[in-house]
Amino acid sequence: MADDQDREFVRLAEAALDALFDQYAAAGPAERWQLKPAITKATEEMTQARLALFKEGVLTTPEDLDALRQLKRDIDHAADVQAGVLAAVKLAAMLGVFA
Amino acid sequence: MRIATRTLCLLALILPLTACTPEKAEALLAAVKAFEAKSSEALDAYEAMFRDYGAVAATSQDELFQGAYAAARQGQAGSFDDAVGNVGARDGVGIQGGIAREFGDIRAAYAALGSAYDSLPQGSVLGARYVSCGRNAVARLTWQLVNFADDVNQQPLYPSALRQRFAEFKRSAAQGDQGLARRDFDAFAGGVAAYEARHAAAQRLTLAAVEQGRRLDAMLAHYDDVSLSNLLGAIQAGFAFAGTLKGVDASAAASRLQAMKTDMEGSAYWQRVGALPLADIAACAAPGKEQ
Repeated sequence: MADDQDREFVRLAEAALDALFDQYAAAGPAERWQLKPAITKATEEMTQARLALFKEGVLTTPEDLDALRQLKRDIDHAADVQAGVLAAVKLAAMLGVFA
Repeated sequence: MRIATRTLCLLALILPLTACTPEKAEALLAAVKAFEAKSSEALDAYEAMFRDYGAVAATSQDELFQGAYAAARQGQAGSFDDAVGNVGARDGVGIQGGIAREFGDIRAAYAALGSAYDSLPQGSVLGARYVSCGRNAVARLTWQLVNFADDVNQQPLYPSALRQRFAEFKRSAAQGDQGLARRDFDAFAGGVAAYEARHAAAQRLTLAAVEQGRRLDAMLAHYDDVSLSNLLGAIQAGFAFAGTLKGVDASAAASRLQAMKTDMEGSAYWQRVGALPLADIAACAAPGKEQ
């Protein structure tokens, strides 16, 4: 069953995904083309993580939360589209652990 | 055939936990099937919510072309896989296939429970012995439904396309395009309202399934002593309750589920049930492996 730490993990991961959606909305056509596959993948992994939480609960660690907080900062300060793509790939990888 | 049924039922009576008449067994089977059906409705609602949660907003063919063209002009079109990631939309693969598989696993436990009782009205001795085994399964699945509702209630599954719509609104507003921002905002607000209606429906359906599950659990606890009319009454009450659900508002359904969860967490019986592996349900349905 999900505990408070798992809830916080979901909250942070959804915030990171929202930041990627913000970046996508602000991007031009070429950047959107580059960002979309990575953002789609991150959304899919987010969904798998939520499914795992829904079914049995996932067990996150304080280190997982720290890594997500850092990633959110990276997305907020992404200088270019490549940094955004990299952040989306990292987010998908972090979430993939729980799927 | 009828004689054979009665003979088997008589035989079943000799065994413990088997105060069995075909009518009573039929009533129990109906109650189990009702629980299975209500649970299935609730699961349908959750599955649909997960599908929307996992789906990013569709991009038009024209937008895709504009993106691909602009990226290719800059030498940034990416790999073939990236391109497929942009334009591909095969059904049954990726996240939508994953959601269907996960919910298929969840449903399998409810189907196993229903099938465990199928032979009971025919006077099956084996079926009668599942009364106790099945009680664990009913309780475990009821507990699971309460937790499903709690999970989604604590952190709603707002569709990803809705999150994207809000991002689009922020962008339009930042650009000072009030007309576009208004359209984005209206679409966002409409999407939130639509989600809330589905969320509320899922909570009500879960409440109906949980009420049925708890009633069934109580019946199975005293199956030997429960009369046929009590069994039928409980099934009737389940249908009547489902009929009044439309009048139960979402927050009332959610708070009733929350109260049940608190109540169950404080009970030694439900704590034991919550710790049972779901795999035991399949074992219960498999002949010769009942607990």
